[in-house]
This record gives sequence, C-alpha cells and structure tokens, in this order.
Amino acid sequence: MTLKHRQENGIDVVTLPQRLVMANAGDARAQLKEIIQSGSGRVVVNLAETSFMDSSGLAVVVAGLQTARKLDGDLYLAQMSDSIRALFELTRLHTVFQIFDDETAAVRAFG
Amino acid sequence: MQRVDIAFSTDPDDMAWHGLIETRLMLLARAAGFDELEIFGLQLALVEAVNNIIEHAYDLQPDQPVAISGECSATELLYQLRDHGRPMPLPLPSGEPAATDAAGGRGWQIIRASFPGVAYARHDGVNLLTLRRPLPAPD
Repeated sequence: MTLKHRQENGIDVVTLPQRLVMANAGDARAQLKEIIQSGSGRVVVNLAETSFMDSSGLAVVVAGLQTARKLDGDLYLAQMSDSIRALFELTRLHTVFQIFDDETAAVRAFG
Repeated sequence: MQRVDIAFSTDPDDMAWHGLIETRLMLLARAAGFDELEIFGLQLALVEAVNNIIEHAYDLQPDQPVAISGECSATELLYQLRDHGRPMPLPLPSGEPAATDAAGGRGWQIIRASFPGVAYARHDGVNLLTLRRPLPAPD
C-alpha cells in the first residue's frame, strides 16, 4: 500500500486508502510520518476514499497530527463520510482536528 | 432464530476476514432492521474485538483459529467470538474514552458503544466473548 500524496502551494495533501485498519496501519503511519517530516508540517488528509477505519486507523491520523504540530504545523482532515465522522465523534477526536467538507477548503485554511 | 457462523485463521497482515464480517455477519443486522450507521458501528465493534484477539490473545501469531457465530432472536442480536489464545485480563475494560491525544486505547470504547451487553468466559482453554445488542424498535 502506498499513500497517494501530492503538494499544493507547499501543503502536503495525502489521501488515505479505502480501508485503514490494523493490517495496514503500521505501514500507513510510517509513510505519513515520512511525508510530514519531509515537508512543511502543513498537511491535509483526504478521507474521501476511506469507507472503513478502525482504532488503529485513528491512531495513524493522531500520530500524524502530533508529528505535524512538532514541526509547528497542523494536520487538517477533509471529505470524511458520515460513518467515519460518527467514529470521530464517538471517540471525541472531532474536538482535536479541524475537519473540512472539501479538500480545497482545507488547503485554503492554511492561508 | 437466524444463525450465521464464520471461521478463519489469523494473519496480522491480512484483512480478508473483514469481508466475512461485512458480508456474512452483517446480514443478520440488516435483516434485523439496523440502519447503515448502526451497521457500521456493529461491524467496527466486531473488527475491534477480533483485533484484540489477534494482537493480545495470539500476540500477532499467524494461523491461529478464530470463530464467530451470530444469532438474531426476536429481541436481540448476539455474536460470540471464540479463540484459543491467552486469557483476557479481568475485569474487562470499561470503555471509558481515551485521552484525545492518546495514540491508542479506543477499541473497547468502540465495542461497548455498539454492544451494551458484553460477557467473557474461558472454558477448556477457549476464550468466549459474547456481545449483545437489543434490536431496534419497530417503526
């Protein structure tokens, strides 16, 4: 599994896979960390393709947020489905992340 | 009473068993009238329970047996997970929310959010985790 990644105006935009679960979370976590540390620390994670995520998947984005903030950056989330949003709300992680309906708005929010 | 049984062997790098939960075990939930968001929660809770078996009961060893049965009665949906791994430490986790900056510790919160009835027993070297959810009220 290789995370989709591109840069837009100095911001790393990463698209997570259709399933982000225990079996691929370690790999995804390492790739996301490398992307963030190689860039500016400003990251948008697009969840448009992610239909299923477990607590290991949540740990991937929490670790990404912590890596970004160590670089004085941030990690925004975009385009999550209703079910993924419900998971973030259940675990209260929606209070930790800035969440945007679309990727363009998330990129623009970095200013 | 409807019943579905699945069985598979562990492989920490594989997610094929997710398909069995989604296509076989969630048939019962759909037939019982749960909506899509509830089904997502039930499926996720079962995935978390199996993750616990793979990671903690079997220490990520491959080729270890897991069996799950599902039953739907007139009043509840019931799943029972069986494995031959290490016993679960007791008491079972309460499912209190993890700190928002914690890397892990959210699995039991997810399990208990979908299954208000949770019981664990061990008989003859077999762990048996029972998860119960009342059926939705008819419209």
